[in-house]
Amino acid sequence: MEHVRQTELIQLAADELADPRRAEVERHLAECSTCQRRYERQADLWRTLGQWTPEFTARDLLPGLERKLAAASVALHPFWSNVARVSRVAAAIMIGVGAGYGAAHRWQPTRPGPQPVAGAEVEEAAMDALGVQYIGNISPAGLYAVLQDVPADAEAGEGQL
Amino acid sequence: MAPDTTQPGSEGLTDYELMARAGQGNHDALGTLVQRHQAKVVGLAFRFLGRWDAAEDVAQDVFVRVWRAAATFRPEAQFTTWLYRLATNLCWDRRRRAARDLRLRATAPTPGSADPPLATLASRDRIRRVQEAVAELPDRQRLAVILHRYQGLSHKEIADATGWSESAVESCLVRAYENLRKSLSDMRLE
Repeated sequence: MEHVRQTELIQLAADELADPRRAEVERHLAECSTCQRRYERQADLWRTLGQWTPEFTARDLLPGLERKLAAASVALHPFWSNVARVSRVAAAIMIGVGAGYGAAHRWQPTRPGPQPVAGAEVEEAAMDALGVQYIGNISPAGLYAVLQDVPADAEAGEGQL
Repeated sequence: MAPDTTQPGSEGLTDYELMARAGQGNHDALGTLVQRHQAKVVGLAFRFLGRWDAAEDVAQDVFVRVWRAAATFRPEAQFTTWLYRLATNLCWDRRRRAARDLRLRATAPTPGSADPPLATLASRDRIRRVQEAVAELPDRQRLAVILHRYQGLSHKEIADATGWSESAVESCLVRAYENLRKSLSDMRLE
C-alpha cells in the first residue's frame, strides 16, 4: 500500500475518516513508521490547537440584535423584504427591456428641429431695414408685405455718394 | 406590523420549524435560533476576526439576515451549513473592509481590551500562542482551519459553507496545518 495522503491523516486525527477506508489506513499505520510519525504529528497539532477555547457562554447576542431589528423593523419585516425583492426584480427587468429596446433600434442621430421663430420686434426691425412694410397682422398669409416708397431725402442722399 | 408572539414555546422545535415561524414574524422563534446557534457563529467570527466586538457585531448581522430570509427560506441544505455560509460571507466582508482601512488588521492577532479573560492563567500563554499562529495564517487557510478544527465541519461541509471545491478545501487544510505545525513546533502539551 502506498503512503497515506496527508488529507486522510488530517481526517483521521479529526475522527472524520469513515470505514472501510479508516480500517485500511489504520492497518497501514501499524506497518509504516513513516506514516505513523506523520499521523502522530498531525494528532499532536490537533490537540495543541484544541487548547484555544474561548468562552462564549457569558455573551448574549439578543439585546444587541433586538436593537438592530427595532432600528429597521419596517424594512426587516418579511413582507417588506418581499416588496423590496420584487421591486429590485422589476427594476432589473425594466432596465433590461430598455437596454434591449435601445440596442434593437440603435440610437438615431437627432434631426435638426425647426429654427426658432424670431420675435415680432425683431421681424419688424428686419422689415424696416429691408425697406418693406410689415402688415402680417392684418393680411392673409402670403400678402404680408409691400414695398415701401423710397423717401425723397434718401434718393437725394444717393446722389451725393 | 407587530410580530406574532402568540404561538407556543419554540424550544423543542427543529431549526426548520423555527425558521418557518420566524418567517411568520415570530420573534420568539428567532430568539430560540439565536440561543441555539450564537456560540457557533460568534466563535467562528471571533476566531476569524480576532475581536469580540467585531465578532458579536457580525453575529448579530448574521441573525438579522436569518430574520430577513426566514419568509423565503427553503430547507435545501442543512440549516447550520447555511448559517455558516452567511457567517463566512459576512466575515469576509468585514475582513475586506478592515483590510481597506487597516484598523482591524492591526489588532487582529491579539485579543482586544474588551475581551473576556482567558480560561486560566496557566494556559494563557499557550492559548495566546495558538491564537497568534492561527491569526497569522492567510485568510483562506485561517477560515478553513477555523471551520474544520473549531467548528467541527467536515471537508464537504466546509466546501458547502465557503463555496470552494472539496479539493480546494483539502489542499487549503494541508497547507494550513503544515504552517501551524511550523509555527507551533516548539510547543508541546503539558
